[in-house]
Amino acid sequence: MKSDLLQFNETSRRLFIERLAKSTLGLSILPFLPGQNLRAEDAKPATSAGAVRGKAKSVIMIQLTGGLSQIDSFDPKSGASKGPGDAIKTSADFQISSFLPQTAKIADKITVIRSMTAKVGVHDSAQYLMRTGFEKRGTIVHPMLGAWAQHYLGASHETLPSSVCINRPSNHGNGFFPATMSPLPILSPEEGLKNARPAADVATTDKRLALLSEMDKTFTGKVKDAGVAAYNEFYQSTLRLMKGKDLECFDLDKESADMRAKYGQNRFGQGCLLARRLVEGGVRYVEVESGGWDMHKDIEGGMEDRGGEFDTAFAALIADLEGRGMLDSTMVVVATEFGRKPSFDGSGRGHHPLVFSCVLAGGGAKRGFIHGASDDAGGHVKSDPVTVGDLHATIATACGMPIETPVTSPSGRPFTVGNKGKLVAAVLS
Amino acid sequence: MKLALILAAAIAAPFILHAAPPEVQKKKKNKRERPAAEVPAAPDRPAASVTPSASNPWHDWTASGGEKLEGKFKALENGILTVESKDKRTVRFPLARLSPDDQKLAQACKAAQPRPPMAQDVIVKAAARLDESINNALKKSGVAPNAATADAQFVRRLYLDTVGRIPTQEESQSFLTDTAPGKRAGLINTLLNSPGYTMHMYNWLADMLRVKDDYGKGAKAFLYEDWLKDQIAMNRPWDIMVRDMLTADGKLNENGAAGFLLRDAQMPLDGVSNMLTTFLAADVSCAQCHDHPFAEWTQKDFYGMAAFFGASDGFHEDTYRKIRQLAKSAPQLNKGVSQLLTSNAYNLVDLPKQHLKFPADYKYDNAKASEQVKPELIRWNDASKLNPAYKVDDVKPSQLRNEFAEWMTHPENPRFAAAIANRVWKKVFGIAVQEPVSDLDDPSGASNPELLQHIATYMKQAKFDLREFQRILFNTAAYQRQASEAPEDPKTYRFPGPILRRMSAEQAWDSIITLAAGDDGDHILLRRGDDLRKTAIPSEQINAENVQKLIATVMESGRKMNLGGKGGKKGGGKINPNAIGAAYEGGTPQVRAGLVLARASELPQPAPENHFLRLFGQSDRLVSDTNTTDGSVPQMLQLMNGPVQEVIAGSSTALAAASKAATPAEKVASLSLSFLGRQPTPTESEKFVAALNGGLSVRDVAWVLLNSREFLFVQ
Repeated sequence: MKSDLLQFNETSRRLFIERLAKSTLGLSILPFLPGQNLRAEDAKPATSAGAVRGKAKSVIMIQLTGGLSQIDSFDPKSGASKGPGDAIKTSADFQISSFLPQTAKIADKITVIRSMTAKVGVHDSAQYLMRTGFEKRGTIVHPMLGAWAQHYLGASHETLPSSVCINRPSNHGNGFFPATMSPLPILSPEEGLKNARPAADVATTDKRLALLSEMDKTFTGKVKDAGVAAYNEFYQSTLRLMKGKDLECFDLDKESADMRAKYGQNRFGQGCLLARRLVEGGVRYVEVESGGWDMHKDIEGGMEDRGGEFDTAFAALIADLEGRGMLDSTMVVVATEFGRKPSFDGSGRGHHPLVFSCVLAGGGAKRGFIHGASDDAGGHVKSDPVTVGDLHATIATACGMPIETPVTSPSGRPFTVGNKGKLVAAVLS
Repeated sequence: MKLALILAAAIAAPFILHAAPPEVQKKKKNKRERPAAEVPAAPDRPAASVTPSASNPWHDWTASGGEKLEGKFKALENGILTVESKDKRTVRFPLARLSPDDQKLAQACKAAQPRPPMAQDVIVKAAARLDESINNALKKSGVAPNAATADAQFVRRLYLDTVGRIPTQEESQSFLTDTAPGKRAGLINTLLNSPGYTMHMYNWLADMLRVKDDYGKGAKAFLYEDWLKDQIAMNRPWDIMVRDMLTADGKLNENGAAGFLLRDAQMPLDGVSNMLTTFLAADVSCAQCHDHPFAEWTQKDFYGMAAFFGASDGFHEDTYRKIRQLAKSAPQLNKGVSQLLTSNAYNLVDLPKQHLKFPADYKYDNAKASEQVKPELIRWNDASKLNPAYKVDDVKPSQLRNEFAEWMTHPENPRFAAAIANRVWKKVFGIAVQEPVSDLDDPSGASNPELLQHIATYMKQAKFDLREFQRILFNTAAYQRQASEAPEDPKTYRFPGPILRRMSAEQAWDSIITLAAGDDGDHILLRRGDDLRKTAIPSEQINAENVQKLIATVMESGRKMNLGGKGGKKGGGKINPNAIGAAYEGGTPQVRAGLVLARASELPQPAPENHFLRLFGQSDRLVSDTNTTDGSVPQMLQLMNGPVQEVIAGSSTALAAASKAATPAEKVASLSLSFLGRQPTPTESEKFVAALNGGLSVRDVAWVLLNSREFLFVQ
């Protein structure tokens, strides 16, 4: 049964999806996909590291698209590479750039990886790599981490989606996994989930639904098809979502004005707040995108604006999660496409995949820790290089996914989460 | 020119029908000429209102709105007239939007053509042969064939499978009340020859070929899209189409057919892999990087095939850089320049040398790493030595693609006919004779190997005419039986009937369009390549002055280049009707609740994220065959509370008809016909009438029908 589920080909895919639809809704318990509320510890990940894994019950992935300058953020340098900001002290025993004053205050809760390295210096491909852990191909689409997690660990909630992406559409989503694993896109945090409110009044809606249920009884009674049955369940699930409390997870109006201000009154800040609400509600994987990091010109202005928004929201998120006792079970990741060159081109810096920085916080990541280093100029990895695949394998392990067991795509090709990347055990506590 | 249909000329008048200059054809000659696919000579014959004369083939084709275009008749297929203008441009126009006289004339021109469809008795015989094979297999495995469909099931299914939408109330009614004995065959013929067929086929091809508006940085594939539609509208055979795609030269903004190879210009090896998988059902994606673990494919085989494309270059970095420089130096133009010019960097040319080398990390001893690859066709077995398809006699770099195309599309190619036949079978029956359609490497994997052979043979007999081939399939008793549940293992499926399917995203959208505006959508055609053509500039002429001129020219045409609008972050899946509006022929689509009510094929490709089409599973066109019919919560929310409710409940055709009905029972019957293509059952009628009398409106009943499982499924 296990191998049967791992090796779905295109044709059994439909059935596979139908089964998944059921597991998504927690209707049936599958041998390998035990439905919702699987505790990650039970998954017994097949890692050789042997350490306790699976602390991260959820992941908030912050994607800074355009390429965060490592030197002007988490890996400040002196000398010719030095940016317009200064290195400042933090609550941990390392320094970061003065563009991130709020982050400096919560630095004792985060791990900075300063030795990220990749080969891709083109936006689209680099973004794809960071989202999926795989190089972009024209013959297959790879799943993002949230879909891998849903595949291995089942749905994270009875009615809420297991993955949500905020401020971006859901491309680079389920990859070769069924569409049920696609993240739900929220393009505007303020608007929340679209079309969730019935257009008609309550009484009319109830009458409509009663009539619909009569009508469907005839059809589904006559047609014994798993695809139709799966659809019935989607309807039920949607109705539960529409009528239930869970919908409030998408509603920022339920937050106090004070809390909303803490995260910053901008799309990214409110997106981070929404991510916290969703994770609290039971969504496993939330990605929040922040655009505009492609600072070929005016690093200073860019870091003041974009950097300021990020700094406020990120620090607020970490503090908020910590305050709610959620940080140990929620891994926050700061990811980006690539770094930026140590040298200046006018007032900005060019693309630089050879070395860049990413951040992990919570969900079992060490607190106040630096992993790896770049050289003095900030142009190359000096020690402990970490590839994007390694980063994925590490997050996956933190979530309790097996990183060595391959899954066969519908086209018959074997893949593992993180594309055979190695667990960076040093960053997990 | 062979077109002898001669029509009286009239005064040339300004025309609005958007014409396209002639395709840049590959100059090379195909040595082994096959019967030409274009419309052969037609005998002189009197036509409706005009007297043809041998001395003048020109006619002023007049649209119902009065616009004229001088041109000669080329084809009338699927309700779309194709004419050639005096400057040799190909122009398509919906028949239904021509003046009544010219509609008759076009019909007469078509009747005069000597290439009739296969005779009905040939079709019937072929269908019977397929049924025999299916019935034998059913008998052997002890499975009873499904019962025949009722007319109501049949009419809805056939409309969805041929023209890609549900029938209108009138269309269902007219079929249901028809008492003629051959009415099913008649409807099959009518539908296969209507404009919806082109649209439905286009959607199917677009998923297979990963058709996409945007090739990146502003490069647009509009001409390729127009070209594909032209091919279907003229019913050009599959082998000719594929050959044209593989041998095309030129720029993305010059030659539509080049768009296929240019799609993968930046990843040519992936392109070869896709091509082999799509056209030959040879799943080589593994062999691209290493020997295939199970099948007989080696990495060397893959490189040998890829080398046929090793002398071709598609993406020209130097031109692209030049455009970027220009954009930088002229900040007032900036993005617009890239948008306008990038298509020039996509130019399919043959280089003097084949340059593909084995990878530096090649690890097998049948070739050396980094060594030049010799172009070599895969031989599946020893019989290929005698196979005429393998006759390769010219491997000059400039001829490599031609040789490959000749081999690939040859009727005797061991895979080509079977691959497309199997794919079309899946389109019609919901499941292929051998799954997956992308992999026929193991011939014993078919659920009915004999059936697979038969359909490959019929594909060849139909001369790769996909419409005629489908005509055979639709006429089988097997197709006309009730649908089965999807089997767990496709190998065990013996085709007691087609399988039950959820509508594709396009079928669902196009059906909603039909509820909203009847069959209007069938006659509104999108054509966006003409302005793109104007942006073709030789690389050395790319400078600020010429760009200014170009902008002026494009502005003059009154249309915006960036047609279709983007899936903007806050766009909510909406398509900008102002940007796309001017590119329609035959009419302007209505815009309701912010949605452009045109058929899916006549909207941006793919539709923006969050558009109804994408929520319902339209492929993002990154990888072949990725349309899905999976459910999702946003889908349900869209149907229950989304803008499509407004589309249907607004001034829709379906609701208007129901509102006009006199009694509640008649209103319910009218809606049931519109949404489900059938009369309501007595129980349904009773319940709905009670609801109407109890305070619910016609709009509420429509809501229920749209959200019913029955609506979304094809029985």
